[in-house]
Amino acid sequence: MSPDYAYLHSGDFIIFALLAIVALVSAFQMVIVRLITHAALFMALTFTAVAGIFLLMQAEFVAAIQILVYAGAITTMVIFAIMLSGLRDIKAERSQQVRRFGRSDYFVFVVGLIFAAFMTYIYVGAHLPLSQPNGSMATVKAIGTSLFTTYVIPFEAASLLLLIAMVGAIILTAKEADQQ
Amino acid sequence: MVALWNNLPHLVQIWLLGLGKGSLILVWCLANFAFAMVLERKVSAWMQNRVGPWRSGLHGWLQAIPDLLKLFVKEYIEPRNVDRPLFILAPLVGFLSAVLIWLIVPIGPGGTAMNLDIGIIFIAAITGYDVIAIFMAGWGSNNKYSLLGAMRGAAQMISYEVTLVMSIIGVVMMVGSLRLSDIVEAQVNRGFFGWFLLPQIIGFGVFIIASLAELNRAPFDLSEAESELVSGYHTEYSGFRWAVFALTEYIHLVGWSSIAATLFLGGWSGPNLPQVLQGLGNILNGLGAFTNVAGDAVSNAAVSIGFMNTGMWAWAVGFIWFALKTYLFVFLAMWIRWTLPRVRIDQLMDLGWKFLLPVSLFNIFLTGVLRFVAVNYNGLPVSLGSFTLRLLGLWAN
Amino acid sequence: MTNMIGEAWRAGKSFVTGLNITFKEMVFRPAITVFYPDELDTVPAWFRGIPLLKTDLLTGEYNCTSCGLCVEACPVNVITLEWHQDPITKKKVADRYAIDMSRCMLCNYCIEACPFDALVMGMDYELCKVDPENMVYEMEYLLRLGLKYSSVAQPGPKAKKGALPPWVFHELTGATEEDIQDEAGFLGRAPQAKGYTPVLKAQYRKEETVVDQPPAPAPAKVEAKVAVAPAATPGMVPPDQPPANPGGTESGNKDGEEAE
Repeated sequence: MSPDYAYLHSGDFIIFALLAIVALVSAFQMVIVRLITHAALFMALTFTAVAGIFLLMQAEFVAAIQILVYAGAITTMVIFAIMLSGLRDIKAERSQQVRRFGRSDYFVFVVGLIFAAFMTYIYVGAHLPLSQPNGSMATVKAIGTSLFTTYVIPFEAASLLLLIAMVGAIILTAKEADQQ
Repeated sequence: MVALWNNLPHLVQIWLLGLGKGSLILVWCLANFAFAMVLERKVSAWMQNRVGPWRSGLHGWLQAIPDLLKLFVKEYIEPRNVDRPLFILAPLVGFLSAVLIWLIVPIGPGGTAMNLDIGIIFIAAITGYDVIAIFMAGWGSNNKYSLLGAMRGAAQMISYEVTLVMSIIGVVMMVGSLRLSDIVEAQVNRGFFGWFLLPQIIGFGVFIIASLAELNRAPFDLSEAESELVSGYHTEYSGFRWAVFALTEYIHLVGWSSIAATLFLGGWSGPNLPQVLQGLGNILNGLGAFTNVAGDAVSNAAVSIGFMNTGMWAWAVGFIWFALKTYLFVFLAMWIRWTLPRVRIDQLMDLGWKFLLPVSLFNIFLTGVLRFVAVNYNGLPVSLGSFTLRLLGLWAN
Repeated sequence: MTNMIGEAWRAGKSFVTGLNITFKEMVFRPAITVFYPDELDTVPAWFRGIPLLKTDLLTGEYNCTSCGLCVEACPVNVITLEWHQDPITKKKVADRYAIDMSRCMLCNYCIEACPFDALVMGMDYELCKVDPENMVYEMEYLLRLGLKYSSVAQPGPKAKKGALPPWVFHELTGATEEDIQDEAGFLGRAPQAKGYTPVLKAQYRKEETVVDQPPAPAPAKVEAKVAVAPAATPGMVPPDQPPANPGGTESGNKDGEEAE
């Protein structure tokens, strides 16, 4: 057995495979499931599985933020959006059996295949660095330091963008409230 | 035994350790549930001039055992048209998020199951699953009361989570680390008057209020307001599924109390017996000539039991202090619950967004300014609390 | 800004006040719990329990004259009264007086209707039965429970001046087993003919009567009476036996509606 493939038998890889399968399956389910609340919960499950993969790479901070922001806040936000958009529409009866494969479905399949091949090509060609066994690079202190020194301009730009988005959201809703 | 352990493969060691720690945490959680539930009933009874549970063992202090046995054998009632996977999974998700808090709480010197670097953020992240659990229960029950309770609970928890994290940031800024054991160590180094209760008194107040709201506990128990919503998101649950919700509630309560104790009351730090005796001897010696004999005797006694400063003894003392401080907060939560009426939903939101959030932001600002001053002009007071204490001449370090 | 601080201050102050109150209640006030099966609580004097029949402890006769007014007054028709006229004493004798407690609503109307102070709202509880069929309480039972509400002094008809009005609920008279004049076992019997003198226990014997006539013949007289009484008055109900069913005297009926 060549040393390149030894990791396939390690515990890490097994757990990674499990998490990846959960993430992929729940992402797929999120797309195809009919009940939109289930879709939101599958989304949370996907995020959780991805956070588990981060944990496997010893990027604890990223994993925690993944859960805090995506599985926690964003899912709740989606749930609120679902709730506020009227229950009757959500609880609508399962519509009549949809035909499985139409002409467009084959087209989608082909496009997806091409996209997957393209992504695989990019990942293989990029020679991404392997995850380091000692997670010294991902401590909170290191992230904070680099965020406020090396990456301070993108950080501030992102915060400004979010602020603008927030102000815009407030203005939009305030206008709606005035009109009502 | 040690040799046997060392001979085991690394993977087996890891798995055995994980299993052992997990089982210990579960047992600890269940024991805490059994005690906190009876304590809640006892405290409510005392405040209403009753005696509370009395019949089952030790004047009713073992009431949790028959309660749980009864709930074990009860029938699972499942309404028609429930969303079955969500209905069944919801209590488990909530239970998981309650138990996971205990992974990182230091219950003694070095007594953490997982000394995570991210500490506080881990807790904040795990809390996010509570919202999902409540939503799953409320949606899955196919009941309007459940759904309303779930909506309220989700709105309330997501509002207060922001405030909660903001109130903790002050402490984190003073320590310079998110790791809970680092926070405790910092408080140990600062001494009794350096516990973050006084320097972070604003953050402490905000944290107490916000964690009550986060726990869905009275006076913020809007999601299970029994006078409006039967019992909110767990209206349709019965038997052991309901029991899991009750478990979750009390494990959460004790978990958040332990975090409050860790952040603001110095966690497991506290004087042990030799230190107390030494201090007593010093006081007696200082009083005058007549008490010198007694003072010397007490000091000698302190020296003779000096072995209690180290090893398992120190750990046990730390654990006792930790439990005492935790249950101080548990009692505080119960005291508040049986004193105050429930707030309205708009009052709740006003309190969270318009008062607590600005106050906690102000606390961050104040802490930042004081910290800046302390770092750049060494010798100046580090915080308001230590400033006042220095004025009084009580500064220990 | 100042408004917010003032609000917060007031909120904090009222919060502390509330906590103080509950803490005081918790620490300084003892529990008022009554450990029920171990110790029984005394109910207040105005407690409305099961309606019971009173007995004149001096004579051992029940106060009830079978007039049927309680039956008339009862809104839910739970009182059953059957009676016949005693041929010797020419008085009405109750054959059966039963109350169906499964339907009784404890309204106190029967007590208010009673002109002879023969009924009382008892303070007894723990009268539960497994089967509601068993909740029909017969005369014997009512008389036995009513003993402790009965007094020695005959209060007489309520028309009498100075007597308590019937709507005043009765308290316990404090009568003990000693007070009950049941030596000959004729407790709860029908009113006797005039001229009958009962046997009294020592604490109720008047000194002059003892002086006038020696107490020796009195028991014999009573024994004779008792020996004769069951045959002569079939409605007499000794407490240890089921109520005697009178043979051919069916002058009363079940609900007492057409008792007159």
